[in-house]
Amino acid sequence: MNVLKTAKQNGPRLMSPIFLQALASGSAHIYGGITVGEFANASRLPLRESLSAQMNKNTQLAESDSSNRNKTMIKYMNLISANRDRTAFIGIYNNFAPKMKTFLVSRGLPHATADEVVQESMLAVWQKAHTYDSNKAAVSTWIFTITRYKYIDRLRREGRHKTESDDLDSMANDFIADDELISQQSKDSVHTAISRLPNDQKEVIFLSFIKGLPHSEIAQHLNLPLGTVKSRIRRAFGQLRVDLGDLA
Amino acid sequence: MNTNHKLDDQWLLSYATGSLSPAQSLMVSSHMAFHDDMQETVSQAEFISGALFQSMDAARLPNDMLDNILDKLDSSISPEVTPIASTSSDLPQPVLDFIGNDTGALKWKFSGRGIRSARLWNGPNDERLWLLEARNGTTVPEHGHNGIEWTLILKGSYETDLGKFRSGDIDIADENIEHQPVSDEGCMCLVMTSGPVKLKSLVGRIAQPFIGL
Repeated sequence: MNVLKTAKQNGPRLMSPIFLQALASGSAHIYGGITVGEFANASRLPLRESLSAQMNKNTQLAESDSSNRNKTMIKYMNLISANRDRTAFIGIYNNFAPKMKTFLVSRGLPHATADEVVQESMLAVWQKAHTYDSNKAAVSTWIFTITRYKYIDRLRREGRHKTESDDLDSMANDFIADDELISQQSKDSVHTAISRLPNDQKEVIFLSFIKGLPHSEIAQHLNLPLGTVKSRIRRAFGQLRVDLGDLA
Repeated sequence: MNTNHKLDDQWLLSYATGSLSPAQSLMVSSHMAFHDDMQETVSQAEFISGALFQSMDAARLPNDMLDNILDKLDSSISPEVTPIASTSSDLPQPVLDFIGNDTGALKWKFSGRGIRSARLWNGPNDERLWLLEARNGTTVPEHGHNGIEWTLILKGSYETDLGKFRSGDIDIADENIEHQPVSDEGCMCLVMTSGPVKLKSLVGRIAQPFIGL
């Protein structure tokens, strides 16, 4: 795979093997829609420079699109809460259920178990819709926390930690094109925020937020002191909080 | 671990992203129930996680999943949960959620003079979670650890060589620490261990299999 080859040629500033595997399999698309090629080039050219023109063009569109999507999702939640509106529920399902599965598989659940937890999570959305408050959280945040709760609850009931992750290639094969679910511009808001981070911070964000690795395991993967990993994550976290603003 | 008896940010971020074990998650969510600043940090991390979640690619779902869910919607609305018994008021909401709001199902058992404990969960890697309650004037037998031991004070306080731990504080001990907590006023704690504790006294070691520590 060219990505691996290109990255390996770049000497000591290599991405971690797990990260390269994700890149090679294409699943690094979950990393805010940044393409394999962009990452492959990242260690040769600053990503910010190589993509800046495109990103500047996309940012305003992304903010507008993301804002519209948020409004639609909030409307759906209100309809579910007030009227038990099934059409609105299907709107929420179409947007979030496929992402729930991506998250659950990335955390190591087998596909069949992930499907069960998606169902449990969507039923919880229906049951708890009346507790959603748009003044307190974005719909995406609220639904993420429900999914996380159901995931941990599944581990608790089974008395186990997460399993070894399914092979990333098989995970990549399970993706479908999601252009109908969410436009490219809305993904670009996160894309833009992450791509503005230095490469070392991108890497720890991928491993922490997307792969869900504990900081100690990230330190092992990257062969870095734990303190360095923690400070990188803290810096990246602070910057993302600023850059993402109200877009989530 | 900070010297202020609070977990540091790495645990909060890992919790927010869903990276912790069920026992670790419960410790963190119960700990932050006592601290507004920790809740704020977790809220920020959840905000970022939500944004990344929204940007994730879509995985393929079974064709019949939506229909299956829609079929269950009407029957999925559960009656309001019965208010919890007053005796459980010492437990933070995450613990109550963990035990299904059923404090009556806790199986308390004698765990040494002035001490009782109720097992909440056993996980892999010998990870265990339990509630421990000590009467006032209790001294926990001096012990070391084969793994880590997290103790969150839910009510009351105890004191070790590292200082006084009060309600909302967390005490982290590892293989290098031997301690003998003393609780003058009594305490209730949520405890997580990843290996059996090593009781120092002969009597303690003999009794250990029976008291479950």
